[in-house]
Amino acid sequence: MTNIKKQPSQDEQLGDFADRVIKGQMKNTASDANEELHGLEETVLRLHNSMPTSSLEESAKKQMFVRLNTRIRRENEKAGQKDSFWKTLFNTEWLRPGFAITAGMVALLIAVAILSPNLGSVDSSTTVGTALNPNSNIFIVIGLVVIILGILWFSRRK
Amino acid sequence: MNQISAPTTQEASDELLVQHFKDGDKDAFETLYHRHISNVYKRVRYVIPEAEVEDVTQEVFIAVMKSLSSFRGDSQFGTWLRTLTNHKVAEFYRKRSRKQEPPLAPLSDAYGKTEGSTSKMMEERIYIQKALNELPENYREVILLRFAEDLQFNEIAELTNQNLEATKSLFRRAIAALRNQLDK
Repeated sequence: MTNIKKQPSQDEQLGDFADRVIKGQMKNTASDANEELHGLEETVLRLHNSMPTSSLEESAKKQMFVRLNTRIRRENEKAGQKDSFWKTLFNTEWLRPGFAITAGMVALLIAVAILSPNLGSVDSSTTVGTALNPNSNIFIVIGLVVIILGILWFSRRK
Repeated sequence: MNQISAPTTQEASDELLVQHFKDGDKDAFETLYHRHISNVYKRVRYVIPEAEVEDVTQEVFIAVMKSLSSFRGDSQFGTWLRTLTNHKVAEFYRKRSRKQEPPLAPLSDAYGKTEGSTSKMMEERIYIQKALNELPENYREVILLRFAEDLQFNEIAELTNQNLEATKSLFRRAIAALRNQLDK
């Protein structure tokens, strides 16, 4: 019962003490008799004395607003650059020069395999004088493609 | 008549300014900025190292600009802004811990050049900031409202929908918790 009565009193006293500290009317603790309240007042003083109390000057506010606008503009520009689909596409890590060269070679070999009249046909007139069977050329191309893809795969995993 | 033709006057409420901003009036943002910068800055300065205060304050206002369109006015603009500020402060410490920086950076890093006579005070400030940041949110909030924003207890009570006694009780418990943190 006594404790219940004491508690609001401490709340009030500490609140009033904080008010006076903030107004600059109190530089020392006020409740030397009450050890608990004394400790809390010490904390209030410590907090108030160590923290900055000065407010922003008008000129500082304006300067900060200018810097804020500059930053917003810069961020908007950056965001605009990021939105470019082609830039994003060609900036991706997987699209490195090695990959591009290999992909180009594979594409070239596939094109040769498809378009070459010697390949894919079993016409005996085109094989006259050649050491290789046309079907074996397809296997060579496929073999090369597999090797290149294998190299690409292993270099990607490193 | 004059008031109608000048939508971003100093007298306009925050909510009206937000509406003007949504309608495309960019000056409304500037008015909101000038109205709230002091409180945001003071709040940030209470919990963030001095060298980072302006940066974090800027981030708060950038976030304001980006999310004003989604502000529905369910709470007061000031309350919304405080929440956003607290969020940015938390984000600052999250990023900092992700970079694995020590929680108490050297004074030279946190405050730039410090005079010999004030370095002890700066160290004390960092120590108190750390303790404040470790308090439960409602405790930290009541301390920031009273000390950083200089709101009276009756204003805090109104803002937090509590009675005056409950607010002062919360304040006492918050100071007690801060004391415990500082004694650790």
